[in-house]
Amino acid sequence: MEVFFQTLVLAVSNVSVYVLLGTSVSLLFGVVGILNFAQGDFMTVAAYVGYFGVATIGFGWLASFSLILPATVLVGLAFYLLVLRPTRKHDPALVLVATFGLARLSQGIVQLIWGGVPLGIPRINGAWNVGGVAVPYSVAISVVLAAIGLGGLLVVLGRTPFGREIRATAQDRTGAALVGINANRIELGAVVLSVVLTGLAGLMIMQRELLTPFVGFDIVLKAFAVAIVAGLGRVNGLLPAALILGFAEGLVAGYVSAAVAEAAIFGAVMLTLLVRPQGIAGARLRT
Amino acid sequence: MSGQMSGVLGTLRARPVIGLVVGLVVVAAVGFAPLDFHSYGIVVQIYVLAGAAVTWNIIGGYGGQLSLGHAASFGLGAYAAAWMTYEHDAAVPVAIAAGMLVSCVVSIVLLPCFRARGAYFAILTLAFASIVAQLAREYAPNGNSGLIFDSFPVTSRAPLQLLTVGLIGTLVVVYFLTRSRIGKGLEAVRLDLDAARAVGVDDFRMRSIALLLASLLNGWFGAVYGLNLGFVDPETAFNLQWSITPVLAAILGGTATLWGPVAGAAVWIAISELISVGDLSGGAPLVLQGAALLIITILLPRGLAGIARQVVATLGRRAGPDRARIGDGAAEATDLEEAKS
Repeated sequence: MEVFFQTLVLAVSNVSVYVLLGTSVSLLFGVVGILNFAQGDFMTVAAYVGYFGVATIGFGWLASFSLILPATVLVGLAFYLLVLRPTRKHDPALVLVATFGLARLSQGIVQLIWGGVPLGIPRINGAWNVGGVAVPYSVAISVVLAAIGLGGLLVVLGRTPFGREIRATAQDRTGAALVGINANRIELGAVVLSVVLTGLAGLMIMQRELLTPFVGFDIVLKAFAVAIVAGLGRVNGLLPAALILGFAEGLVAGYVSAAVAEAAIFGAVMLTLLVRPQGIAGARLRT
Repeated sequence: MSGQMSGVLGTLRARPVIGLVVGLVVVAAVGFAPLDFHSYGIVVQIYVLAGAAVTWNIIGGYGGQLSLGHAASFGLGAYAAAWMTYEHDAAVPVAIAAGMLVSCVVSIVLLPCFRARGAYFAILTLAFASIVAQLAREYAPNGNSGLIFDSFPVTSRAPLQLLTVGLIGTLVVVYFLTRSRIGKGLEAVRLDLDAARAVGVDDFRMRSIALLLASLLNGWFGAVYGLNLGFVDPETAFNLQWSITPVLAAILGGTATLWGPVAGAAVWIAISELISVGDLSGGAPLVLQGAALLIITILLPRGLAGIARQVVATLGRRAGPDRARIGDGAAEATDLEEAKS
């Protein structure tokens, strides 16, 4: 029984990453209408920038976010201007391939700069003992970060004029433009926002595991899975979806095998697409 | 001068078979020519990639569904062939047949995914390939260490000959596929799904046939690749490369064209060789791939075939009435899609 809870506790840190990445994917899809294969690589870049801050400049882990934040803003800007804008009129399949190319490019650049050897920063160790189950501090930290990310986004979307304009543009771009919203600028803002979320995820990843150029890409499919099951473009379903998939993955991986766990997630996505394609939150699907 | 070219073009348009045969003769000539060691290696690379790209094109170009899981059929072909040789000392044809069969049968799992379209389909195929790779890492014979075996004597030219035969066969199959009822059905589904369904085209059947055919044929190339290497492990066989480079080659050359993927493969390998960074494990190949994909998809979405078509159109303007052919379908398709968006 203890093993069961222990597995769940460890899975929580996965859930947190999925929440952040899934939210970022969903936000981008909701506003721009594409699934971005490079989203995980934005997280990788953020994590490496953080690593640079810690290992080279001497920042503390948390303080490295002061570097990550501007970096993600820049990445978001570049992504929007150099990739999204020129391909606006293209066949969506081509845009997907383009984001794939961006992912590879990013992986290559990271590898050229930092090499392929896994890198790590000094981590926060230690754990609480809750009735025989170890609850690492890092797990709690990941929950806090995920809460900040998701909570922050919900506040922005729900309570700020900017957020309102994002929601309007996501619902109906033409309609939004008709009421005077500068759709291009809102898109840009949403893209940057989604990349900043991956920055938070990058900060989290630095505590979780060793960094490789592929650390983000390896997770991105699962982030897509969470976003799809949650309902693309809707932020409401994300937490339940991340919880379900994260825990299911953890349990299956613990009791059976990691490969079967991945297959299970794949199965969950297929099931969702076949049975309830709009996901948990019931998004309007854009194909 | 352009009058002369119109003549040649006019003939080609009236009898596309001639173009096919000429192309196949070139492929055969290069494949069976006495090449020096270095050139041999390059042609092998080109033909493997061309095979993977042409087979991908069946699903992705003609079928209109972006598949990012082509590495699965490739790797399965390699593994099955390797296993037959390693464990059962099978003859080469048997090993290749096993590769094709396994690749085709396993891809049946993907069939339900055809309900999904566009990005969802892409994700599902990528996930599929990723899971197959993962399962291979955990459960394949010899697991991660891979299988080492002997298939061909070192100086043998047989691998390239097998690849040539496979490429010719695949091109012939694709040529006749596009002119068959199934091919027309695929084109209809690709251009306008609702209209196709309205006239009674069973899109699920069309796409299923496309998928099974593509994996079957890709298994050939994966098998020969594996046998040629004499070494197969999950990392090389199921490497993401094999999902990406065929797509790159096909888009570069022109999707939904017969020779586009072949041309794209040749150009891509040439570029890789030119910018050859001896160290294959560094970040440079990734940067190259990524940059190329970005440039091609953003600037050259119709690929070289699109450029060629424009050149031909400008030069051959006096060639006479245009008969709509499958090749043109690709241009019309992208026009339609652009008009729709």
